[in-house]
Amino acid sequence: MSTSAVIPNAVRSPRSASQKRQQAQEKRATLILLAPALLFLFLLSIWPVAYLLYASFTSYQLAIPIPIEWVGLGNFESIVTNPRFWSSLSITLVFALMAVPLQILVGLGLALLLNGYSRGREIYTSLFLIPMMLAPIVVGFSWNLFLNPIYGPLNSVLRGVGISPPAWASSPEWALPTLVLVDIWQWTPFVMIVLLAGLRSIPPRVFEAAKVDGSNRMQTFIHIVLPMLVPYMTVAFVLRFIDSFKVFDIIYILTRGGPGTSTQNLAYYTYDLGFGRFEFGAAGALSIIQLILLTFGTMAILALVKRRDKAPASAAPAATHRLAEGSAA
Amino acid sequence: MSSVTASRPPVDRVPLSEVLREVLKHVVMVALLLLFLCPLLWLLLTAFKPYAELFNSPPTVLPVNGTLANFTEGWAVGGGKGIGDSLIVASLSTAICLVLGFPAAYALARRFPPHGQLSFTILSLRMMPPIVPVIGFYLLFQELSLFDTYTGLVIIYTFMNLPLVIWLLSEFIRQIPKSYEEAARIDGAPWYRLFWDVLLPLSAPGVLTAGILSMIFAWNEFLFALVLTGENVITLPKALASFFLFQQPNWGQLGAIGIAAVGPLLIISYYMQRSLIRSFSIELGGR
Repeated sequence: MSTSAVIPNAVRSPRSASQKRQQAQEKRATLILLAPALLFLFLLSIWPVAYLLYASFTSYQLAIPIPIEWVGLGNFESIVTNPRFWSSLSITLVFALMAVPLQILVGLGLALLLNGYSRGREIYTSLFLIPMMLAPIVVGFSWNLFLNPIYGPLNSVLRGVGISPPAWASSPEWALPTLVLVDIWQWTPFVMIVLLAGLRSIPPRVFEAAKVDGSNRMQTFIHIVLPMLVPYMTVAFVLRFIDSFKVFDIIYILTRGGPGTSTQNLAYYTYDLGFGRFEFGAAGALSIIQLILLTFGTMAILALVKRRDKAPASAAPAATHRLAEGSAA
Repeated sequence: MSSVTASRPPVDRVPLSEVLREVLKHVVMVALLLLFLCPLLWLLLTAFKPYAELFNSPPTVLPVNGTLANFTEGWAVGGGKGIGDSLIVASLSTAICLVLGFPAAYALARRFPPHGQLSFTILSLRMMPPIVPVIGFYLLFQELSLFDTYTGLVIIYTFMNLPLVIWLLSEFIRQIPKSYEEAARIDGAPWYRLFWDVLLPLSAPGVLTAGILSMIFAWNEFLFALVLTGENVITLPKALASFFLFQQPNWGQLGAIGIAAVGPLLIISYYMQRSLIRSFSIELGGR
């Protein structure tokens, strides 16, 4: 990519030798500009992974001063044969599959509602965005207080209207749905703003045309609005799905993986292995397994997305990245 | 006058019912928002309740003997240290992110195709859950004696935010017409002048957005802080989480620190929703 080729030759020296030198200079400049950041990122991603690999092939235990031995694939074997690994994997997936579709649904509702406001839309939108700006720790303890069985407001309201409330985070059946509820509360705003952007991008003349053709509001929604929102929903789904593997903070505050192991997802299980029991070998192996799972999972999802909307929105995978800016807060 | 009023009612009536509808619409929205933000509002109210009122069952909605003591006490029992440490770590890492990220973003924007392999690789770092590298970082930090230091956490947060900053800035720089740089070059401006006097002012809004996001993410981050620091560096999320070591946390102080910590974000959220909506529509809805 020669970028400076646009510069008129009359101004620059027209001789090709100097142009070549110019190009070499440009190349070197590119390298100098990119190098610090790339070197930093490269070192900091390779170095820990090297340590991870080292730990995962040895009997590394922080608490016990036994000599570190090479155990080969032993750690991987013990992880894969441990039922707790499989239960935490399924909890992670169940969590994502409960939370993300509901976020899309509620987010769509909110986006449609907000789109109907011409006055005050911006201020309402930014108020709805508050949860996703908050630290997950703050979200976690707000809900911990809100759902407290004794002095929390929600349960006394529920009792007031004659419903006997569940024990939320401390009941084995309700703990996971509680975490899902909290995740929905925090991240629906993200889906909402993505879909709101989608709605704003539909030109008004589309609606006028539909009206002229005699389509009613429901028909317009199903045949025009929804299809136009599909790429936005896909992006929101992919990003939220990938992000739901990161959920840790609200578990730490609300359930600590309990009761029992009923809310122990992969992230929490890894933390527990590493920093609860100091079994660094096993925790390292689990991290490597997650890395592999996620790499392939993400690649598969992105390939799917790319294939799906190849036609108009060839920017879809790019958009996926772009949208990551709002996610992962 | 009478002839005017005679012709007016139909014109006047419509606005009246319109006004009513409009008012109703806003009432519905405000009610919905109050319901939605309930958990946070409850925390806000709790921050003003004295200790004796915290554990009332059934709880009292409004503080009976409102107090500001939670704020001063909360500041003293760890909130102040938390806010200070978070400010240090978040602002330093953001500054480094921008210094490292801006030149890289420029090179990426001008020399590489948009959404190419390199940008994808850089951004995919962001997709990784922090739990994956954290054990590696822990061992590395023990080795380099970076455990529980400001330097260590700044490095980590820079690593965490740099991919995003590079991506955002390179997208932003792409929108700036090349003619500005060319004009500057023709005038014989050296490269640092090109950066400082031409590009930086033009990309100021992009730098602001990237900087704010990077600040927020560092400010909110918990897992790395939990694992990679001890008694010396205590960021705000870690300070807040430490309240949960007790059976009955002091919700008043917790609420006070929490509210103080998120207050600035409310203003930012108004600014952000505009730029977020704009960038999402640009990205997905054809330019």
